[in-house]
Amino acid sequence: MASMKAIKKRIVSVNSTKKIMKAMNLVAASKLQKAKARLDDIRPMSADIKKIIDSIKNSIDYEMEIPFTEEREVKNIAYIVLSSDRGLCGSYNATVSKEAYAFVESNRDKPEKIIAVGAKGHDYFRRRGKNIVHRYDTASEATSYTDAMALATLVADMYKTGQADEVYLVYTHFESVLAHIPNIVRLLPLKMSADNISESDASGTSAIMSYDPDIETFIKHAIPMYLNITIYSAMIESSVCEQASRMTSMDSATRNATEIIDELTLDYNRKRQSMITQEITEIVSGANALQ
Amino acid sequence: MAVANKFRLRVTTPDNVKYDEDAQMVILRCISGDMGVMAHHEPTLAILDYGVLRIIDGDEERRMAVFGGIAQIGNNVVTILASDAQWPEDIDIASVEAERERMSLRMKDDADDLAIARDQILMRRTLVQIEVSSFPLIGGSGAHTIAADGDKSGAAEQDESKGG
Repeated sequence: MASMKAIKKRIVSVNSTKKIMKAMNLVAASKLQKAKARLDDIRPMSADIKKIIDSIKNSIDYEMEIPFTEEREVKNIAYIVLSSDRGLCGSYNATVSKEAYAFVESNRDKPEKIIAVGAKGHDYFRRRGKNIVHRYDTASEATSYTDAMALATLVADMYKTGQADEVYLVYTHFESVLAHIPNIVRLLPLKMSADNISESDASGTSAIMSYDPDIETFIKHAIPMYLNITIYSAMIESSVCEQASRMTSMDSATRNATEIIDELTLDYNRKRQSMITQEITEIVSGANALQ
Repeated sequence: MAVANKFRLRVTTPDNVKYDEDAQMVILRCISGDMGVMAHHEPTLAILDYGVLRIIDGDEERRMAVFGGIAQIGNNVVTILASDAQWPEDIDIASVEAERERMSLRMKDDADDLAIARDQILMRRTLVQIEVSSFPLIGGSGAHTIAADGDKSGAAEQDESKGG
């Protein structure tokens, strides 16, 4: 059994750790609010541009040559994996990295090119000896649209020059503070088969849409923007998940610390009690001996 | 009712919603020229260039610098998905002027086409910022006269003032 002094020391140290976790919890909570506001701003825009791209699918003429839609024989696959730069956020990085890793492994026969956004995902794939071609370290709460644009330009170039025949984006989708779902979407080539005709027809806009200046030029401009916004909104989704995950894990860490402190205090008091009892016994027996 | 001649205008950028109110007319700078949109415009998708977006509502006209994007028109709603947009009051004109000066000097030394193209984009950005900030000195007059006779539904103005 540890001495009273040792127990006292542990209580003090757990207490200071608890304070740090409490502070991190509060910081994550306020960052979460900010990130959520950004998510609320980007979600409608990302939904709008998806709808536009879907409606184009139904009005294109299949003779037309549309960039980024050609399905080639898949020789190289690029994966964009969105993780965070910092740890202490529960299972957030592990979950998304594992999901991405399993997916990469399922396509083992095709050489992988991993674009790691965030230091944690980068380290995860490096340890497993995967081919990382690019690494971006941007603190996820400070991600800007320009970062997404750079990433989109990079993958578009990789696709155009044949360095990658397919591009996948792995990110974490934000459902609620407690539910984060790792998600894999194929960015390129764009799927142009009209499999969701019924959905777009319901909106009733696709059939009589006119384009300025013409549909081909429109598509050429709209697709890069679609890529930018898709990547940007995935980045924001991921950063919201990171903060939410950090907040909940710091919250449970604070609670665990409180539990440990309670246990240690109990131990300490028991020890103190037994020492007092022992002392009294000694005094009484000493007094008895004198009689 | 005046309401019938209005439509909803929504300007969104990746960072925030810039505008979400009714308007009588909006003039968009598309890549093929300027396009005027009034209520009940036919469903259209258009590509926006760098330029000034003019929002006209009654006697009021507001201007915004838009740096590329997509305009979606339909169901009496105009949605502008801009890569970036700025209100004139958010522009620091002194630093923009300095930037323009710097760009015009740098373009003289640019060696390859790519660098020139990049600087041209940055330069155009500053030009749009300067144009939107100098409101109401440029254009502006006559805007509300167009808006005033816009009571026929389905009316749309198309003026190719930009050309090329």
